[in-house]
Amino acid sequence: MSECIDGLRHLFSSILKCCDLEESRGPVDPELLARETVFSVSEIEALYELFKKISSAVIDDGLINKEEFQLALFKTNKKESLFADRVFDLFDTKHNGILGFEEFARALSVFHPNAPIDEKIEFSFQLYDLKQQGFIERQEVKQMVVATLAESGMNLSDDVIENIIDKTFEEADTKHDGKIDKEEWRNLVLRHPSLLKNMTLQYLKDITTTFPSFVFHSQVDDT
Amino acid sequence: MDAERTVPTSSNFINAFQLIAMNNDLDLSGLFEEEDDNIQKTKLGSKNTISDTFKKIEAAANDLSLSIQRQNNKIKIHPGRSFARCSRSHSNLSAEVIEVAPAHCVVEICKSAGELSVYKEFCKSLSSLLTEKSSIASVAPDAADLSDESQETASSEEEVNGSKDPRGYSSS
Repeated sequence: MSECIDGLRHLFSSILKCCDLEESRGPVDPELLARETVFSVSEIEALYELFKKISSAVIDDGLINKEEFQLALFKTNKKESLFADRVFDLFDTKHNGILGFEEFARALSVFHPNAPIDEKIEFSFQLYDLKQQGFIERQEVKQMVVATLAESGMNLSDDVIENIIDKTFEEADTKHDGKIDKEEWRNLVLRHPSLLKNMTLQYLKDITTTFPSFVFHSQVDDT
Repeated sequence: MDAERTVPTSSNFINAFQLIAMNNDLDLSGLFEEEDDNIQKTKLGSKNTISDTFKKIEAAANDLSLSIQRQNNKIKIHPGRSFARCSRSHSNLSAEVIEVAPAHCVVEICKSAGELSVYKEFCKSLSSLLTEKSSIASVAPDAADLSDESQETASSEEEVNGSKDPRGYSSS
């Protein structure tokens, strides 16, 4: 079995060299990733099992495209979603429309329960900064609130929505400039940690049991 | 007026980001979950106050002979009238009420185990109660069935749905 793996690895690396691909498809260096993320080596390997599953759903190319991402999240690729798009964009640090394993692992690292809160604050700020201007403005908040209410089957009048946003800005916009900048965001979530609840995935703590990886152990042992 | 709320909030309005964080699209746990009939979630809108919303939940449960157990803003729903510990079955159905604005709530119904049919019937029952225009006249709760862990005596006096108009919120 391990000869097979070795063979595959050689094949992989020659293909990679040959195609000069920038994306790393597999855990080419799980130890490096483990060093640079919150994950342990075995968690990286388990994460890779998940990655393989997701990335082979539509096109089996070892990469996650937007459709596969949507499929994995919503179990349907028919759903357009403002937020899923933002999340995908934030995962896609190379901005080439696809997620390699490294991008996948690095992004998910932020969602680990043990990840530093600063990373969660940073990620969430960028997530909500829809136009990526470096601040969250009222119109963006409104857009997100409306999208969320629609999803909840709630039909609120514009007045009520404006009130909700007014109150939020009253509290958050301490500089009174009509925008929430990174510092104000930080202060807000430090006061209300539950605002970051979607930035933590408890599943990541148990990932080695959910996705046991048998295959790549040998890679770690090899020198 | 604020006595009925057990969860301290600075105003009757939810923080916009709290609301946004409730969005399922931002919940990446889908990446780890298999498509599973066991886990089901629904959100329903309720143009009622928190206490009225709870009454409707109780009514919906009663209609289906389900017993309920309330813990703060969450109601656990069990099949059958008896809520003795030993009869807590494999069903895991709950309804959580989140106040979004005065007289506007979101109910999150969640099932993590148990029969799909019970869950669906409950959602249907509650949904029709929530969209009813009339006030809940006689939700005469069988007091024995309710086990409030946080006693909300004030709310039971509030039969009057004061703020039914769409702009129903007290002036701030």
